[in-house]
Amino acid sequence: MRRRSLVCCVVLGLALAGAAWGQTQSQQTPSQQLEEVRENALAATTSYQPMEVMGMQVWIDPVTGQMRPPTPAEAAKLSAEMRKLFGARSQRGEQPQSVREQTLANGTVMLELGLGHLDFSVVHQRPDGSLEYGCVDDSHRALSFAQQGSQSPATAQPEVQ
Amino acid sequence: MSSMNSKSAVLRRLAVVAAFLTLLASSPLGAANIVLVNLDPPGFGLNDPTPVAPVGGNPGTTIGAQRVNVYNLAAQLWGATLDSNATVFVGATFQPLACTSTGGTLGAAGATFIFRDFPGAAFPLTWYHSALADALAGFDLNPGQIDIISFFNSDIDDNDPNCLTGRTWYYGYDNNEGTDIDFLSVVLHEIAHGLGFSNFANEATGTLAGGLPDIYTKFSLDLTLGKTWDVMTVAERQFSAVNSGNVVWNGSAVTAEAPFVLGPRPSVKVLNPKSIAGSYEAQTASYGPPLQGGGGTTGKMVVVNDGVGAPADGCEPIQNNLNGKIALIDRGTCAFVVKTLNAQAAGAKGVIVVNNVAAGLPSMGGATPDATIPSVGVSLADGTAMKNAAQGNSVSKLILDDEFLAGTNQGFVRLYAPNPVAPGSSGSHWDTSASPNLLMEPFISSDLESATTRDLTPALFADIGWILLP
Repeated sequence: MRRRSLVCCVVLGLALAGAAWGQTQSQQTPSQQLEEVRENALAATTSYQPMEVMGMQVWIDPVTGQMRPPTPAEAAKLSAEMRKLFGARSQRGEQPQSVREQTLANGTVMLELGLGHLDFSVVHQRPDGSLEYGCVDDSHRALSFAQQGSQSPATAQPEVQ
Repeated sequence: MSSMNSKSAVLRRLAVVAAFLTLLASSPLGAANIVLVNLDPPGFGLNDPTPVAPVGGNPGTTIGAQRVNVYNLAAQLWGATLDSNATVFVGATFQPLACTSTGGTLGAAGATFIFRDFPGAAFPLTWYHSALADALAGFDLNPGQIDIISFFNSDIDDNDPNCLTGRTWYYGYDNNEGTDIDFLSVVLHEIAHGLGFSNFANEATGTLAGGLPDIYTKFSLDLTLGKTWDVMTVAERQFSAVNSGNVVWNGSAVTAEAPFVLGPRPSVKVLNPKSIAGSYEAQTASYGPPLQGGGGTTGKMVVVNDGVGAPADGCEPIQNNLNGKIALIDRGTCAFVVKTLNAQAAGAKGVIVVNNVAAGLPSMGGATPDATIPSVGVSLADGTAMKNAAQGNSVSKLILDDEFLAGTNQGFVRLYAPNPVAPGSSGSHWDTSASPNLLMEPFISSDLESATTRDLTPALFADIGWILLP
């Protein structure tokens, strides 16, 4: 079962800092604590950008059909395709808009990552009826993706010479 | 595979499952409690009700249950490795992530918060991942919030030919994924990023989070600059981010552990002339027989001459006598496979392809069942020296050289620093030259069995401050 929608939707968000300082952990049962954490994460109105976290990828040799690490040129092509599908804030040289710093009572400084902007998980229906999903970081790109998709990035070829 | 090998593979898998079940029954005192926070809605992702048969030791009878079981196992494996008083909450959700027929993102994860100057921090003005900061402080610095967020690609189970040509996730515990994608390895990988295997630098711009270094950058050393990332200028960091092969992890725990994990380095060992004698790093080809240790493949080096155009490119039938010799061939014009088969037809017992660009080693990709001799690629600088010396009695060996460890430079394990920068991959993974393949390389491998060992990752955790449990 999948979430399918041609309408851009807000990706998972995280709760704003300070949302849950009322009750200490020691006063909660583990299940209450887990539920509080879950609700805080789900209740967020802001979003988190998967492209700004570390990811594991897979590369399948188009000739042999076997999984293997890509060559540097293949990796660059794959990375470019991922950027097309996700948008690449960091590649554009911008600091994430959502980084928020806060000093706690004990002098600890906390930086909240990935909050403060909306990201959109979008889908594009190709002429053949198949669906194409993407995740982009502003509403204009989301609309463009939903209408045109990722422009079908070329299938990368193995570096054999 | 012989029946004996089949039996031993089955026994090995059963042993893996038994070890996991034992672990599930008891965790060591002080073990970190890593808790899955299921962020998927009813009927989707971790709650997918599609019925399935139990597989590879995973007793779940729905896709969602099997996913949760694997996730909990991964959490327990890491929890049993690390000491912490504070519960680590890991949010998880399935989403459609980027995917094409030949490549895609399997998962992604990272810390949700980072902290500095907290009680127990070893270094001032240095960011730490939320879970590690909590462990060092001895309490939850930010209660009520998840410490790690993780995403997994929901398209992979849809048999979509446009997504990895219909491969699916494998939810067994026994490394028996065949041509599918081992979910346990991916979950272990992603959780590890959130626990500390990641920096917070921007490799494209060279900037740091909030203008300050993080604990990971303190051990990211550029051998060319002789500096770690935390003390570099922005421009130096930008340079280092793409300084492939020369960015390493200099933490003492990883360096000490590497000889127990990594294998010998593919090399060309020049025996004569003495002026260039030594071991040169090489890239093995994806076709032909593998390199051997011990004596390797030894022969006189000869630059090929195919008599056409650039005569040393080996793209046409080779004119000179290569019987019993190792052929030196320039990269370019035709496929690596063509060069190897031409040299083989002329009697060569091995092939060295010399790169035609200054940076790195030739990729040596391709496939053929007809290659019976080993082929390797060397850098332009090293290969040019070999070509210049390939007169008289120049002799070399193509060998797995146990004097060097694969994936290291000057004894340090390399970090992934491709040029151009690969956002989400650069800096925060091991380099792909490591062998055997490691859990924290940026690309999953079919021979990855790190679900049982986790190879160098715990050592890196020790370097950044985690207390490891015995």
